[in-house]
Amino acid sequence: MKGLLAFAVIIAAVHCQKLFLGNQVLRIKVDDDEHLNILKSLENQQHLELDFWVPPSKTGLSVDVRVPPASLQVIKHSLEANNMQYSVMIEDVQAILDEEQEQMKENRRLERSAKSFNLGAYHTLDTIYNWMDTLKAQYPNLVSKIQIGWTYEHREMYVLKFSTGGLNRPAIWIDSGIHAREWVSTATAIWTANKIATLYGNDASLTTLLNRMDIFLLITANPDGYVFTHTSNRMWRKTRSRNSASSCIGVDPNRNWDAGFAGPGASTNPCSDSYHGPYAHSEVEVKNIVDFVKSHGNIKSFISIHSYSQLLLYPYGYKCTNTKDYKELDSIGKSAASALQSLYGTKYQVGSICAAIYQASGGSIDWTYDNGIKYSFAFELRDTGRYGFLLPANQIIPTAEETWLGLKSIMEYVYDHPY
Amino acid sequence: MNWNERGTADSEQLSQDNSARTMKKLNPSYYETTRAAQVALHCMNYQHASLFCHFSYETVKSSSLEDVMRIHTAKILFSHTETRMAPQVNCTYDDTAKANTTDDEHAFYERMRKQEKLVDGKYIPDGHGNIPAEMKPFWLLGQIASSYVMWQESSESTLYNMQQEDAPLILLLFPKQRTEDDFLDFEYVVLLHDIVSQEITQWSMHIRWNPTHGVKVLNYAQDHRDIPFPGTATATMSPASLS
Repeated sequence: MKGLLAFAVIIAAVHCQKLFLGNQVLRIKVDDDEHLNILKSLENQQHLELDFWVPPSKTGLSVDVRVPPASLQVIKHSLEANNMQYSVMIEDVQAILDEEQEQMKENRRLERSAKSFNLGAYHTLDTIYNWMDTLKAQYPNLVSKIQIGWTYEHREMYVLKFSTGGLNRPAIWIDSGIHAREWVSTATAIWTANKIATLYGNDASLTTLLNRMDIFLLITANPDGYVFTHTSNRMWRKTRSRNSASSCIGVDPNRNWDAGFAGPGASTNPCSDSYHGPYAHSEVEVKNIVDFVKSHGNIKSFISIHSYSQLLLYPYGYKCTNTKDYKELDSIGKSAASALQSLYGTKYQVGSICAAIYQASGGSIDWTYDNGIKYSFAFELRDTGRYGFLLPANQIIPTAEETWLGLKSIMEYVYDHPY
Repeated sequence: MNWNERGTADSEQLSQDNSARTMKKLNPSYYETTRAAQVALHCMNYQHASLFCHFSYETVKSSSLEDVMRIHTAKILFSHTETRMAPQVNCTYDDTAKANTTDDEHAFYERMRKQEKLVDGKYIPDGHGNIPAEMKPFWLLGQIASSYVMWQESSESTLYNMQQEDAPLILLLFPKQRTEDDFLDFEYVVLLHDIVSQEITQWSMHIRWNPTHGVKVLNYAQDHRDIPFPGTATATMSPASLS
């Protein structure tokens, strides 16, 4: 069927005409020999210009025939007069052909734009969202897009799902861009999504992993903030939610999680860049992730990507005591940092949030860890302050390439240590 | 931030005449060490850096505040008095570290002196981190001057910029050049990022420079003007040609 349609499309394209306007395809039931003979005789009437897609062969097998508009009435009367049951499979063949043409054009466009998307540049939210669709179209058997909710300003929040099937497989979660100005984290996530898609089937370790686990990738965890950095303030960090008792806008989404919420290292001042918000999970962007993680119930590793400082962190931030899995997490972190460094020599420090930077309450990976996701980590990508948030675009790909080695190291460990 | 909250030894009580104090052993990965080292680095950069050469250091290896620099010794004394003082830093300086960059600096200096119109620059780096080549010297100049401001403004509870680098985070540059005698004067507006609070603060600075005497910050102040910096901003500099 598909082959026939494609053939028809080529013919139509070659002749640049609408050859099939008003044509219908009928499916005719063949109950007995009489029906069969009628259809065979119709087949021989050249002036009807019938095109049998499934020709009459024996009783019991339905016949599919394309009927030009001039012959439609004749054929239908014939069939009805002989008590032959039929249904209209295609009301207008040309309409289907037109739709297919459009789809093929669109797929070619998506393919072109997927090939032309510059992974080594910073992009607007719209461009990123369009690109997600092209990735999905390129790898339909691996990549799907899930909407996990809306932002404060009513933008969709999309997560890319990399899955080879199964039902609620153990999964790895990666998010980036929760702080709007950390552009290289978002750019790295895009590169990583593309990398995962291209590696499946080509890289033994990743293929093995994806045959048993899923990967979820939230490229922009703070779309409102990200748009604001493009249009208004490149240094914006928080969400864009209105605060009830203040003219200052936004909450620090990485102080808003229910982990030591409103403890040290977060501000009570709505005008502060580390304002924790009125209550835990007050920010819809955070709530969307919380709800997704809870309802999924089978996430084994949660990795948040930030910039800058070149750190690989594990819990806790809200308190300065170690988790019970401290030794294991530290060992995983050190291996990952070592793998990362092997590419371009970029040095990362590894440690708990509190020890490596500062005590900071209400952070995402503290919440995920305390909710049973043992392998919770955060990356702070390049650099260490020369450019800081304004990392030049020519460092995107090297940053993403080295970070991939660190991510892979963690993912492989998670795969090898189910719990 | 009081070191006691971290469960470490009692913090040093310093008097203004810097009387005897006990040295603490600190885990090099703890951020007090890097904060202290950062302050020393800012001092180093301000006092000794030239436009085309300034200092950074590799991972702090030692475990006491006495020896935070790889080739230098910096004694950092945070004042605990009511009136906030800039942390005092004694930088013993090893001349061999000074790179030979004076040719480039002189060339830049002469070029700037020949400018008939005042130079006016914006967004260095721009929203995408780009710095056009001809604007790089202004960026470096601003970084060195910002080191001074960060040194002045540092306390135990701030961490301007981050562990291993010495530069201010962002330079929103409006170099307005005036030639005074044998110096070039610039007015900069600079954005600095404090890691601890995550706040970005805006500062205006009056900078004086020539290749022989280096950089001096004549005055600076926090600047509360609303200067837009969208992500789409691109670096500009006028007069257009700086050659």
